[in-house]
Amino acid sequence: MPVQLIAVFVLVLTLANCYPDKPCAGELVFDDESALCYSCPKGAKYKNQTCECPEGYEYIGLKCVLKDGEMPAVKDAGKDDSDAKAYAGHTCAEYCGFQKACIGMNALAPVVLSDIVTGLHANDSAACESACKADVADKEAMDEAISCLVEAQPSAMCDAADPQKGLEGAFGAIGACCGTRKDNPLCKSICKPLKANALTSSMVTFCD
Amino acid sequence: MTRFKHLTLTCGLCAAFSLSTAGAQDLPPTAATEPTADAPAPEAAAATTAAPAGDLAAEVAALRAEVDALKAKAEEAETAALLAEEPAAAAEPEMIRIYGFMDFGLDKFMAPKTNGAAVVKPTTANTFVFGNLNLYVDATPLEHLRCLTEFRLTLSPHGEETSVIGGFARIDTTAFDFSSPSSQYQIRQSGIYIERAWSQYEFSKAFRLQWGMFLTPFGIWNLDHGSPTLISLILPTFIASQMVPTRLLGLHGYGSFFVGNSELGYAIHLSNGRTPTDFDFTEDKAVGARVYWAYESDFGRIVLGASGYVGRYVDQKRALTPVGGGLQILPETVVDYMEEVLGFDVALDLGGLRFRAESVVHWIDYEPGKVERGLSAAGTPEYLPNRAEWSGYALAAYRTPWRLEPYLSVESSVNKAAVLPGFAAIENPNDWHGSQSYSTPNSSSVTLSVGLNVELTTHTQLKTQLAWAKAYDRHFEHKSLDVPFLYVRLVDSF
Repeated sequence: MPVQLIAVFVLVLTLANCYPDKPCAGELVFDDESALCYSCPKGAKYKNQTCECPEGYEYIGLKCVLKDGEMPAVKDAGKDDSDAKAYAGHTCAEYCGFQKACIGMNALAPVVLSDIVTGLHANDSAACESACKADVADKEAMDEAISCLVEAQPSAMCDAADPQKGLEGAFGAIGACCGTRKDNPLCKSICKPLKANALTSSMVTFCD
Repeated sequence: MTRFKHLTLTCGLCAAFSLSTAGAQDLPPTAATEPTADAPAPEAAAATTAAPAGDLAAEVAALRAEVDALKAKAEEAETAALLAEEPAAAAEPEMIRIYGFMDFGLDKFMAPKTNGAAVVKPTTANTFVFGNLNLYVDATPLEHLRCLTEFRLTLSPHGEETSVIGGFARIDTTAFDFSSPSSQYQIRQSGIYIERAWSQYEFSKAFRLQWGMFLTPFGIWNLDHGSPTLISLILPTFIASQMVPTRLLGLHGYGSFFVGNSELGYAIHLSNGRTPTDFDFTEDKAVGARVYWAYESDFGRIVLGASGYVGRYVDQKRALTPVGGGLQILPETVVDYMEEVLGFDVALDLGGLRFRAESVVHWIDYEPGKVERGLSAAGTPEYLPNRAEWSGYALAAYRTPWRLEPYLSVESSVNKAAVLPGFAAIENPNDWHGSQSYSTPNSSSVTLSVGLNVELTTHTQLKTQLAWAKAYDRHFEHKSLDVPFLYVRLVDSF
């Protein structure tokens, strides 16, 4: 009897090693860490189950990052810069657009989290951009936190009918982007008012 | 004459018992045990030759004691037979019968609130639970025609948590009872879940045809189905996670025949397969089959089985689509994959000892551009990979003469773990990518458990299972959950 029992498991384990030919369907690439598939980042092209980044960049951690010793590409006037934006092109203005749409214009935030709205300059675009540029030392196009937050905005559902859901979507995006970038100066600035507020201080564990 | 009556009763009870043991976790009968209309079961034949001739009073007393014992056994097994796929009812046409089972018990997750158990269950506190309340409506309007419907009455969906990350939300079915003389009185609306509903025509023992919604003939456990007949309280992962669809809508033919002491059985089915609704969105139908070989001898009984299923899953949304100069509501496929499931099972009965083992492998292959999609907390689209999942368990139980049945089981799996919608990332409802978006394939688990089933009466069992579940990433390297838990159920059949 033990022979049959063991045989059943061995057979299945053997069969389970017969994976499908490709780990991801179509032009998706496999991430071994999460065991999920992802689209190539903007500006990169799919090739042989991986992503090919523009010259000077390499595909690491699902992103195109600048190779050691390389300088970022300089945009040509009048030329389509969508590729450049994809991997390192988001601006402080776009980041402040996120803050304004997700927190500044939220119906709930100015009432219950007014200090956070002020601290993040979410209702003052000029002050927000100025603070942002100071944080990233004018290297906004290369800042990962800016890029992450801007790209997360569409899915954060900041314009949800329920302002609480919108706010939680915004904080969810901030947590996901800053939780892994605690040393990022912009993230540090974002965390300051969040930690100072009694209501949110215990919730923003990603700032600890 | 009295002796003749007792002998007849003895034979009848033996026959009833033999048939009733055809229940789910009990092995199906073979030629050696299955009684026929014109021949008593072997046990009955043995009983009739046991009493010495001459001492009629002693013989009658011995027979009476034997009949009492057999009667108790038959009652005990009656429910199992009723709940099984092939109850004795088929032999005696009746218009309609109603029977069922229910269980009630206690759950306890013995883990700190912060160790991740909260993702699995809403509470770690000791809590009484209302388990199953299943009713069977079983009709045999004609000699070879049978119609069976099994309803599960459930308190769901009250209490279902529908959102956690995007703000907490829970379904509340509480409603005012406007028909009550007291205007403040409230009720909670509950649900009815149709477990199966089929009709069957029996052409012969070698071929029965079912149509309707039936339990997928896959392995041992899925057909065992009811809590009175299952040994363990915890479902195998391959059933709980629906690696194989547990019920199908379509046609199902099955039967068995005997070659000496061996029984060869088969089942084939053609169905809609796994579908997001009750309709099939494609023309291609799912197919599946099961074959088993059973052998019974002095040592006991062994059953070896293999099951397979092949189907295509398609989900779609419908939207206003520009066509020519106007708009039309047209379907658009959002998820499309082929899946194959293969399973093997072994069951062995050696006296009071019962072994059960099943293992399943499940392959999924997506069509490009039609992959199930979820979103990370940051809103990054994540797609499920093509993959092979597997799961297996082994269980050993021993029926003691004192109506106690201790058992041990071990299970291991690498499979996609479903995440409750409330614990998954927010998805824009306007960007529908299938109802199964909320899950992770980076998951494996090992569960060890011990249990004890106590037969309190012929219709009541106390079932206890203490399990230790550990969840990991798919390589069994990084542990994400380590929870001991206790389940207790009082199971009544009626």
